[in-house]
Amino acid sequence: MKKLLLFAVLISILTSADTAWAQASGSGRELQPQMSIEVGAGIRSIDGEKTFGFQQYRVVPPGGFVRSLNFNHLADGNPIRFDFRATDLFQRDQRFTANLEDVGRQKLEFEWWSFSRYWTNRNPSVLSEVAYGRFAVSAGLRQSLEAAPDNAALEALARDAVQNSPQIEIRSFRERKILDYTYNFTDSLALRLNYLHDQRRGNRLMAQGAYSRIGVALGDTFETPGQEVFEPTRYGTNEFGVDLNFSRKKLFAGFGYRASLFNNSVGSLIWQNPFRITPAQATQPAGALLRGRFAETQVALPPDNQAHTLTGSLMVLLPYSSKASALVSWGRWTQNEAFLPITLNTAITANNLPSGVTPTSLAALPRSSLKGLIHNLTQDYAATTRPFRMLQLTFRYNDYDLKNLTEGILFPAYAGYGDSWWRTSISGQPGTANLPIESEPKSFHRQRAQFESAFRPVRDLTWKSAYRWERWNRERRQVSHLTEHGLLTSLSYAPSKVFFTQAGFRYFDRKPDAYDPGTLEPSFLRMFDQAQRLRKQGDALVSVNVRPDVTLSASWFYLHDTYDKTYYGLHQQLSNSLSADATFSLGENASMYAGWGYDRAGYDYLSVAKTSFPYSFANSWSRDTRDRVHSAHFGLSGAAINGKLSYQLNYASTLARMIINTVNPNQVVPNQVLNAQAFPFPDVKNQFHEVRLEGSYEIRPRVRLGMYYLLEPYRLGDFAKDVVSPYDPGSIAPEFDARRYLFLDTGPTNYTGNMIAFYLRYNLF
Amino acid sequence: MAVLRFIVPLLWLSATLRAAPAERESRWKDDRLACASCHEEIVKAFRPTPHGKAMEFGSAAKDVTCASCHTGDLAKHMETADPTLVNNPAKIKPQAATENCLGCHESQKHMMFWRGSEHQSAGLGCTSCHSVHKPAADGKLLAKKTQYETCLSCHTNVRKAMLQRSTHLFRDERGASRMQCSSCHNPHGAQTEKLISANSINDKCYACHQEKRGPFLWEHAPVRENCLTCHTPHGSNNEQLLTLRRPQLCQTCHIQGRHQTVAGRPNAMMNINRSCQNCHTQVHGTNHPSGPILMR
Repeated sequence: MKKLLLFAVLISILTSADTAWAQASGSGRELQPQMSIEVGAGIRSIDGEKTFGFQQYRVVPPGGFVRSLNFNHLADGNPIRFDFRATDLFQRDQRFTANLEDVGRQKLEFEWWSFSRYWTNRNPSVLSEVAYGRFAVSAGLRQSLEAAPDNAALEALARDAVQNSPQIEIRSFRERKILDYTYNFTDSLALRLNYLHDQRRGNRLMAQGAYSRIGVALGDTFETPGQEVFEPTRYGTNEFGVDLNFSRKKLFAGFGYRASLFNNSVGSLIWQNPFRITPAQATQPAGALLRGRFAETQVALPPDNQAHTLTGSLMVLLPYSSKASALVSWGRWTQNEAFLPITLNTAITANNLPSGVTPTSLAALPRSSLKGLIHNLTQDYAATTRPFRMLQLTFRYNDYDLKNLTEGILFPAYAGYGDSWWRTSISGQPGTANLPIESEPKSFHRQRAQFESAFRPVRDLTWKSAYRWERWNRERRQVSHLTEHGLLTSLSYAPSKVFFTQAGFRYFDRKPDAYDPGTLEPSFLRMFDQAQRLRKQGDALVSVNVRPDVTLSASWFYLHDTYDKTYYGLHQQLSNSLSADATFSLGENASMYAGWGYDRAGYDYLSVAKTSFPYSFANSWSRDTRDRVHSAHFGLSGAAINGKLSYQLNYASTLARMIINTVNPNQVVPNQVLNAQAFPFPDVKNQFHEVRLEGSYEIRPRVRLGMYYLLEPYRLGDFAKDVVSPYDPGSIAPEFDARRYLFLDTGPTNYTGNMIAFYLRYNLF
Repeated sequence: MAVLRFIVPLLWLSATLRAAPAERESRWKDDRLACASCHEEIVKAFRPTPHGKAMEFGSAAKDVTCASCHTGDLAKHMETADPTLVNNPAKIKPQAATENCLGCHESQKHMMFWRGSEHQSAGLGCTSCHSVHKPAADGKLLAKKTQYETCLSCHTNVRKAMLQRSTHLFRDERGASRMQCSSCHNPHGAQTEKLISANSINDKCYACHQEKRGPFLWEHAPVRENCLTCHTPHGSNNEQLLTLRRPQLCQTCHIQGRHQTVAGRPNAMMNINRSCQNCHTQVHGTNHPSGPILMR
């Protein structure tokens, strides 16, 4: 009823506003207001075990809906323009835009949209949210699980508790409002003010876990205490911007300031351990540690942060179709949220804290907050000229310098082993010292320059060639300096509007000056984002109108990155795609399209499982992943009966298969069989089909009656998700004792979604 | 009721402005009417459009007329009605037609990097995507109904992203896009690679994911440098737009000598659900003093 009332008020405001305008104009000018409303009702059915996927990124409402409300006011002879558009009113993914312009003088733009992200449905959880950021478990359950006499009793109690828990759905919502105002002081000088408010609510998924190493028969076995939780999101961001722009026929100069203030009103998540009510330290039976023995633990959620940016830009047009552009931007990012205590586990003891200071005390921290500060300087310069009609030269330089000026902080320890142990260092590789618990703010500076020529030796043929240089300087990473040289070339031929073809090739050679593996990772590993790399990239496109009513096009893309195979880590990355499309015009009132695509992506890497230091290279194993996607789409649309009847049919699908191969040709060290042996992995399959059918008929002037239908079957088979259920430790590999890990049954989604709706579209004016 | 909170002030403002006396002189005079004498329907439809309004009430210094775009021997064309005497930007090569558009639009901020940009040097022009007289949709005068249709007609390999396991190309139940290509890209040229309309790829991502901007006490260096080290922006067969499924993604960079080196059975804890992130949840950085290995 409230929605109906609101809707009626909105309609009356719009119609009365238009009447007011019409009366105000008074001078006999022709008014051309347009208003349309689409309302309807539909039914939906979603079959399947986990059906959230049908509404993963949208809301599909059952029952009545207001699909759209549009209003345009375009008056001849009047400088005012106004339009208002609303979509999916009263839904959680509704959207509004409004633009009001006094042409040449001022303009006001407003946008408001909301968005829904459905993470999962039907999840039993023993946790209950007692306040934002605080989850509790019944004391009785915790007591009985802690006191369970043996594993069988523990499993029975936990299973029963999960089965009797209420089911929750995990869903998050975003809402954004943008207000943008431009005022032109003169033809040349304009001021732009901008405000944005972004808000997020709801929950999303998070897990907390720890591994407890237990035995060494066929390899390490683990007890895995952990909990999948639903992280509360209570985010808000306010952004303010002001720009002053000056433009003349051959000049643009601008200066702007923008502030972005992010706020999270739930700074941490505290949850109780379902398996313990008494806090304890990790213990060490039979050479292993039992971990995750806290009664209550705390996780940090994203801290508030602030960003302020100043930007100056200049563009000058010069003779010979030349242009020079410069954009310089300086940013200051800060974050100073108060630190949380190192632990809430009162049982943890520490031997390196001052007398009277406990690990749970804020006094155990060397500082109360980070005082995080980043300075960020961006410089972009571009110059282009055409000294001859057949030649265009372009130079671009991009410089991004991020300096993290935050001071490193040395902590006495951190609470490790599932928040159950006072760890005063992080173990390094053999022969290296352990690392202190010290934060290391990292900075980097990226420079990129490109010189490009576009040469047209004959009309319609363009040969582009370019040289690119890129340099990275990093602090506190494995590679301090890295340089890449690249050559790019392409040929395009467009003799007429009915034929276009282009092919290109790019070659990049990237080399680090030196690679310092540090102490955490072994010296034989190369991290791919800093390693030596050879990149080859090719692409081709052809589009041709074989007849006036038929267009055919095809494209191909290829990328191959190779890395030094004498090291461990990523060895190659490969991706290529091929697609073909055709469109047909079936007379004046109908058209058809069809397309097909094939994409392939692959990653190969080499790794090794450890027995004891040093590494035994018999435990080396390699894994390649091949991800293939076939996609197809087909559609038919048209109109008949003098445009009174319109129809549209669309079908689209993707069939994806991922093949994972693990290979270990060596004789695996006996006590590493579980970790280093190449077990076969099932393929991951992902099948999506979509059928859309829409038709409408003009039952009388300005009134259309329509219908649309959506059928969407989706199937996902992913071994990593298929075995996960809220409580079924037996489905986990036997070397893991997962009796103390509670999942939320978070996937995969498999559903067949159907919806049919009828609507009435009415143009009021 | 939140709808009214924003819309009512807008309507009030618009009605107030509309009711104000029209002090400004219309420049819709003889030369335009002269064109209308033969092209009446076109001119009539054109007048209330953004370009029509700009012609009528925009900058007097620019004094835009039909001839600003339809260059040629107009006088002779009016005498003889010979269409070949006047250029029609919709019928000539986009790059040539663009020169007319740039006369007004080049000195605008979003066009700063047009010349020399990927699209310009590939031979595209304004009319490759826009239609002044026959736009298929309001707003940006696109020749096709939506941005997706416009962009994907060439970038065909992105189309499948709409139908993948995770995607940024959100669509509603009627197939309408919920996020536009221009949310991240500026097709008219940009300072950053892939026509990203921000100082860097990460800066663009922070525009929506502000919580990941930090700075954090404990940071994950590749995350700070480039989100695309781990994510692919359009669509993926993996969860969360990851380039590669976990734990493979993590294992390409981490051996370290402990559990992450495990090849393991498919149902090993290291391979199921979120894999490494079953424990190391805070891969984007954390402010917790106990988070040096990104677990809390």
